[in-house]
Amino acid sequence: MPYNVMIVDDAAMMRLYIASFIKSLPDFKVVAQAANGQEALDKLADGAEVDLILLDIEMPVMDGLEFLRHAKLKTQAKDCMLSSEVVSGSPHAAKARELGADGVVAKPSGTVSHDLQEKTGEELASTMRALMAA
Amino acid sequence: MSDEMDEIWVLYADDGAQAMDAMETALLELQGSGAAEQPPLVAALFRAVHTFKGNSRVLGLETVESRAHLAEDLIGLVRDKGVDLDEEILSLLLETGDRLREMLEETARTRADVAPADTEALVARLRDKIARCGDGPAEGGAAETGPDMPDPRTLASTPEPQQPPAPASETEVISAPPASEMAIIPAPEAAPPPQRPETMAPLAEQAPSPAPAIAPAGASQPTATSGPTLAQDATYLAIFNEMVTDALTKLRKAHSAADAGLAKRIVPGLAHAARQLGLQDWQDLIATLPQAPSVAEIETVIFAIESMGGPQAASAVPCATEEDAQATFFERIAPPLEMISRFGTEYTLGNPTDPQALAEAVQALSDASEAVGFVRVTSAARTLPAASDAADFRRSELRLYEELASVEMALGEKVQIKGTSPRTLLQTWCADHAFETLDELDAVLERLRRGSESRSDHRALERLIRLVHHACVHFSLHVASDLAMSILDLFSRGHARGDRPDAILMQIARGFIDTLELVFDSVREGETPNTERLEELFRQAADAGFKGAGTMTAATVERRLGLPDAFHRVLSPESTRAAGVALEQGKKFYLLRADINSDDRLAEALFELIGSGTVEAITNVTVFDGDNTIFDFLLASDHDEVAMVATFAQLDPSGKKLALLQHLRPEHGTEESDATPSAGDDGSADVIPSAEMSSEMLEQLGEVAAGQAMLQNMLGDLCEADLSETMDTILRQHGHDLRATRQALRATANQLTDQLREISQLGTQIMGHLSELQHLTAALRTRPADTILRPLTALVATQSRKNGFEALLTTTGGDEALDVRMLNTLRALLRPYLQARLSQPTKAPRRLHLAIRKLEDQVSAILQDDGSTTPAADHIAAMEEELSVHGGALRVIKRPEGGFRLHIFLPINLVVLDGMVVGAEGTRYVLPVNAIRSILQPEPSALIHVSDPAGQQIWLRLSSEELIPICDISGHKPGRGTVRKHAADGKERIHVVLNLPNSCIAVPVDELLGQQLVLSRPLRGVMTGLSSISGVALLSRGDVAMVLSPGALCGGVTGDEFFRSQISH
Repeated sequence: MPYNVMIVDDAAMMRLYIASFIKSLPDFKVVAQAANGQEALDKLADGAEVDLILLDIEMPVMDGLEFLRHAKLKTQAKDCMLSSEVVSGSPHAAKARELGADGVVAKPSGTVSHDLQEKTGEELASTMRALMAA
Repeated sequence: MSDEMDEIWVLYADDGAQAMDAMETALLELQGSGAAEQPPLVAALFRAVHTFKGNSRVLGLETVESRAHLAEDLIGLVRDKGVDLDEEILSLLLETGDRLREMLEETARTRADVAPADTEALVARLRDKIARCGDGPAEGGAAETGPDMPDPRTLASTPEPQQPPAPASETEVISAPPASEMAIIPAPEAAPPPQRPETMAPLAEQAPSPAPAIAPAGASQPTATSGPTLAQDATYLAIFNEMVTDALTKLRKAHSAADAGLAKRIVPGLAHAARQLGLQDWQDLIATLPQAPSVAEIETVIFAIESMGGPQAASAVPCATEEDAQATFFERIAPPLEMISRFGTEYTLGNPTDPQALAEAVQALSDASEAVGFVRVTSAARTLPAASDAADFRRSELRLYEELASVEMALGEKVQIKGTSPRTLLQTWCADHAFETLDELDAVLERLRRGSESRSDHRALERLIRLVHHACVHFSLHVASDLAMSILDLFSRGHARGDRPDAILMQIARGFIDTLELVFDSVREGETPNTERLEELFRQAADAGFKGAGTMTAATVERRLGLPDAFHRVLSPESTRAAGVALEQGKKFYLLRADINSDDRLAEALFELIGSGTVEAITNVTVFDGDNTIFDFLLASDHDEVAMVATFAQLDPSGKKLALLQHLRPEHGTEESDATPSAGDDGSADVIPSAEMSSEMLEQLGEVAAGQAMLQNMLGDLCEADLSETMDTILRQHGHDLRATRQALRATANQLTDQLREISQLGTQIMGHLSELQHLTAALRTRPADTILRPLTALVATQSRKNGFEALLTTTGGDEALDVRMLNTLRALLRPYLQARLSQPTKAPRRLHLAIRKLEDQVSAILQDDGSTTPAADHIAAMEEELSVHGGALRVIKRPEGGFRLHIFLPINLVVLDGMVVGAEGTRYVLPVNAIRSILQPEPSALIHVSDPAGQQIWLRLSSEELIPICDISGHKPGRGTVRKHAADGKERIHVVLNLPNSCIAVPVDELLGQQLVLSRPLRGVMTGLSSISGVALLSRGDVAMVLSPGALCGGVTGDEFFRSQISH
């Protein structure tokens, strides 16, 4: 049974991009998408069955870091920060850890001419799997 | 997939258009807005640009991304750094928005990146503004660079994309959060298996929990419960009430449909939510209800829920008594926490106070936490009275603080904690146990290195690093606390991938531990810790991902080449790779300034040279000099500097357009060694960073180079002028007219005079720049002796504690300014000596004193101790050998009162001296300014003839009570009739009064030429016989001067005597 994933990002393009990638992973399924933290919380409150939340940081209404606080209290789903702001060793990565992010993955980039399945999604996939196995 | 790509591009255009609209709207609203209205608008502006940047990045539109990134940086300064949103920024951002919109339209149409050249001017202005706003060079993809050689007419560089995410280095997983990060749950007893749980939905599908228990550390990350504070939050209550409404609706539907399946998850969901919010009455009620009611039981459940007041039942503070409701959880636990903390401290000191008071405090804390469902806190608190000894108690105390800190963090800013917060207690605990934690961490690292670690070691590693992080926060060691989290980050990423920690990371972690020991010690000694090494480690940690992938980073290239600021963050991957290859090939690197934008011929010649393979262009940056655009090239070549200068002189004989700014001195090492922290296991290689050329120096060098080129050009013009021919022409033209001839000759002479005056002025300017350069160089190479004394003090404390005793090193001479090379030599000698002296606990010294003193021509270090063990002969021999390399000497003296004294003497090869330049007897001399007491021109009556066993001498009366000898500059005391009263120009001679260790002398000189910093070089050959002269120096005007040694004048004390007198004093 695949794990249920929610993508939280204010950019529709980014949501589609990530969703397209997750389609290629047989052990994960995108069951919800949200454009900001509040919308994500609403969907969780509505009973969305989510095992893993892929989360952007900069979003309107409620940003990713604020959502992380709420999520720690309101869901048992794993939280994985997915942002260009969270490269290795960066203050954002440290902050995300402080707030309890279970995983941190940098957004892939530079894929203009590549197939989505060939992009740097391998780290994302391995991180998602490691998170769910932890 | 191509359909999806089409859709992604469509969404890119849509998202981008929305972002640009939002950017424009925010900017327009910001115009004329008040300060109070700005924050949300600036936040919206930032998000709009950020989204656009991120989308562009994903699609590989590097130029678009880099421009958006710059705009984001600028807005970020306003949003996060308090930079004033002035008209210039608004105007710049509006223009940037327009350009970004154009780029969006173009990229959406072409599905390709835009040409960078079109927006270079905008980039320059954005970077300039960011720099002026105090944020230094813009980061990210906005820097200008040219990975490939640019067209000479469009030399503006292509943008540097952001570093792409290194494979498997930018992901991380916290596989097993430590207790301090764990939330609190009324938890199941064991971690769930790694398959998908049956129910993961929040607030709705939780299985009823068994009796409260501590979640095992490896449990799947649970949620945190809330305390009364959350129960008072209307949002959470509203959600709960909605759940109740929804539950009733579903239950009624299930009842009417006679379908128990519709009702089976409702009660557990409500139970979980009530527990999260601490709604005790709801929890009590739900505990009496069937978790999965049958059809017959549904009505009972409905009735029970309705009996609680229906869906609006949770509108008030629900679970607590009236008294409890008035105090938050943290307020209630403050007194017992204080008691527990005090008890822990007293227990450690072997003097525990009233156990009954402890029991009451634990009970009070347990009651408070139990009331709000913080079962982990309750459990941790209850272990305290059962502690078997002080160490056991402190471990329990730590666990309690970790649990409480976790609650505090989970509640975030919702809770205002009065008094000492749990996080502060946790940090204090960690600071108290910092060394033990570092030792444990070191042991875990060692097991990891050997491959003998247990499964729990990875979790222990993370937890210990977090404890170190807390200790660093306690000591306000921000770099260290950030570094701890970065190291944790790197270990976690590797562990998540199933990789073993690589050598680089292990070196960084060990270097971190070694350095922190010294830093903690320094802090505890009340000293300012030297954090340079931590900063270096932090940088290495940031690079570690690249190094792990075997890739040399741009930062590594920058560091190894010592690139000036202008080249920071401009290296593209291609140029980084090219530089890496050139480094490995041992090539030489140069910075060339080229003013070729308006000289096509020269540009072509330069590019032809570069294309020939003789010289390789790694990258270039654009420099704006007013309206003129010039370029600084980073070049690599096999040619030495002389050959390079000759090559460029052939291209540009005038020297005006091609100037070799700098010959870089790269560190040629392997990438592995580059990544390896320089400290050994004992941190002994913790060297002082060598002096690096500053941008000011580079600027001065540039001025000298440019001035010199201009000078050569002007002299060339003069040389080419044929004066004889000019005079002949004048005579031919005006020979019959003497007046006209004279006028023409005068005009020619005036013209020549003007040219010579310009040359002279130019020469003076160059000398001024050289003087400034000399000043900068001198200042750059010196550091206070404290730079090594403080770490050595910390070392003694750390080493002695490690070996089970306390030793103290005191120091004097910390303010002495010494050359960095000298300091490094002293440190390299003293560290192992101290470590050896402290290695035998029973015979090691307890009190040590290190005195450093700089004399005119040498530095002395005397280390005195009270140890009973004799310094090892082979160790001393090794030190002597090392010292002989530097021309120094060593003496070891056994003190009659016990202990040993080590004398180290090191000659100063390059003394940076603040000197007063004087003229005497036709020669220039430099007197150390710090030895000058006063300068005066005495009345003749102040010169007193006195009788001395050596004969008649002249003394100078400074006051009615003070008479001092006069000593001429050659070191002789002049007798009657041998002293000149007047200088060569007839003026009265000036007397410089110099302080000696125990007296004063007056030195007559002819003139004072001014104060300046000089580099004094040691005397060579026969010059070494001049006892009163300690060296020679080149003055800024090019003159050579003798550097006087005041202590040696008039048979004064020698430097060694001087030093000994200071020590004995």
